[in-house]
Amino acid sequence: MPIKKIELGILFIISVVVIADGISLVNLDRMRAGESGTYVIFLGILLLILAGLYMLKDIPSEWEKQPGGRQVAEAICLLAAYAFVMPYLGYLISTFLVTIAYMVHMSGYRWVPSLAFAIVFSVSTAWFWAWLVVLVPQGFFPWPEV
Amino acid sequence: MEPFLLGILGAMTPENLVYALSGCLLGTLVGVLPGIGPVSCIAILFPFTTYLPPTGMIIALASIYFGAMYGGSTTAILMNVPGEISAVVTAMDGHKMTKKGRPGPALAMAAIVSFMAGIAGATFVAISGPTVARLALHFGPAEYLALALFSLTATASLSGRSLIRGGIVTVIGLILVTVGYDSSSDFGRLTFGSETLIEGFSIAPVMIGLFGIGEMLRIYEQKIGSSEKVKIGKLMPNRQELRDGLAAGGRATLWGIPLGILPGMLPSVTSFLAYSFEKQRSKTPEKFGKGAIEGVASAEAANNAAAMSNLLPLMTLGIPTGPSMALILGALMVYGLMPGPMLFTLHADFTWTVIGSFFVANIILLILNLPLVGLWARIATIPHGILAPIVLVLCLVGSFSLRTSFFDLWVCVIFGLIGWAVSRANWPLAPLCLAYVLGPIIEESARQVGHLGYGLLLERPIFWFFIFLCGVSIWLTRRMWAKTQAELANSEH
Repeated sequence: MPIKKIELGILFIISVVVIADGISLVNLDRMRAGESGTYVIFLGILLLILAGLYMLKDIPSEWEKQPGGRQVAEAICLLAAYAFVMPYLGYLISTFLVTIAYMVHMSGYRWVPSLAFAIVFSVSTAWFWAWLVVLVPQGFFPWPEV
Repeated sequence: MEPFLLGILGAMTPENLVYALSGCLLGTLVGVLPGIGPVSCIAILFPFTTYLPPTGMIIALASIYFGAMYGGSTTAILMNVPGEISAVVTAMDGHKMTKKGRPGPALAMAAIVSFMAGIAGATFVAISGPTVARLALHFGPAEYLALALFSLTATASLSGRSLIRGGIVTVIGLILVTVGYDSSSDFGRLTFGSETLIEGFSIAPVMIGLFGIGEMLRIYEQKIGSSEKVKIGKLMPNRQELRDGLAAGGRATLWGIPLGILPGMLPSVTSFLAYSFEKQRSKTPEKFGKGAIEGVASAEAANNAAAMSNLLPLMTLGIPTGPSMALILGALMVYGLMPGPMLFTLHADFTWTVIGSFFVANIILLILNLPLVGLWARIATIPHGILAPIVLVLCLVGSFSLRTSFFDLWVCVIFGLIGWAVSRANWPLAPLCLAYVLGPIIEESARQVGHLGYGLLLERPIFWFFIFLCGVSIWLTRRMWAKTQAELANSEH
């Protein structure tokens, strides 16, 4: 499917969802909900009009296939995994794991330097955040405690 | 004069000097990393500044911004990797000078004219700030509505080749900021019954995702960077180069300052305009694009002068003129600070100290950049494999730390993906950022105007003036965009 059709599809879906939400607010018939909903409907209609213009105008999509797409998908998966495990494992362990995974799997470094870097990086930053009183997830291994 | 001198003294306190120095160091450090420009730099670092007191926070943020602007030119000159579009013009001649074996004079000239333009820009802010603030005291909701709309239309039309795309991205930004609890109606909007979405999307994870993670993914995909070590050699330009460069930098500063206060007139556009002006008036235009020091000087001076005068509308009106300013405003809003005309009256001590810190930061940057240029050049060659996990961890920790919310971690990751996809499809991100910050101002002003009666608008000439400027900006900037693109294409050939 051409990229422009995907772009237009996303824009039309967003417009419809936004307008529907605005209408549901207006229908509540409560003080100020109408005003609030009207603004949302206005934005939805504006997006719909602009998406319509984008469809009609001869503006080609500039998305080009690039060889690094697979790596980006892997990086996103790694980030999602990091966000997923952080509440359970805490900052220190999850950062250690994600750094080592990134360096070995995605950057192609050997295990020993990656391990050394991951230990130094995760321990030093965990200590640094604690020193700055920046709150990071603690998980089951709350070190260093803030 | 007295408040200004007191401001300088305030900025020179050991505490504020440490904030300015740390901001300059961090900004330059992140700014020299290939592909990371000032906007990404502020996005990545701003959550950490919220732990500082208000004065320290804005000093650190402004210093990070100036540092990133300085740092961006280093990678542009040495590696031909501009951190953002404004450094593209610097790279055109600066990297040619590196190839000719003269990176030192190009870097030194960039630092000297950036300092010169920065000081001139800060002086302009100090002189005109109180006057603009006094004028702004007469602004009501109608004027703020029109001014915010002007800022949005100008940015949307200037930030990409297609005005329609700019408009779409702007509206999406306005929609995103409406997600969550609406205090005036006491209802959730676009939350679809989710209790998590009631809190809305905090500005920090959205911006860190769009500009920090999105940019890192783009760098990773395109393998931007270089392990090529460049020998800096002799740093100072010769007398002729110094004379030509300073003259070009002076002219470009005069361009950059007034252009920088216009909404949407991003430092990148100012650089293009100053460069093309310098090329047109030169007796040897054929030298441009082949390593002319005037090219480096004009681009860097205009860029830095505009970066400084960008702060005037932000500080006096509370209206950002571009994405960097929008991020600074967003950071201030996280802290509960709202810049505007009252800054110069109710919080004069704070304001003058901040203005004083602009001067101090420029001096610090000159001191840092000239002797430490070799160190920055070495940092710029850090392999992406080591750099990426560091930046990604910074992004996620920054997103989490402000509200200690795991939801924000996911928001950051998802907006990172969106940011990468949007810039990959060559859609502009700047209007989204601006719309996200200006959205609440627009909605609130529109509501107030509605309550006062729309007939009021007929009695507000400033409102109509800004609405007229919206139309003019769209028409004019389309013409300018086409012209600068043509200039750039000519220079590249």
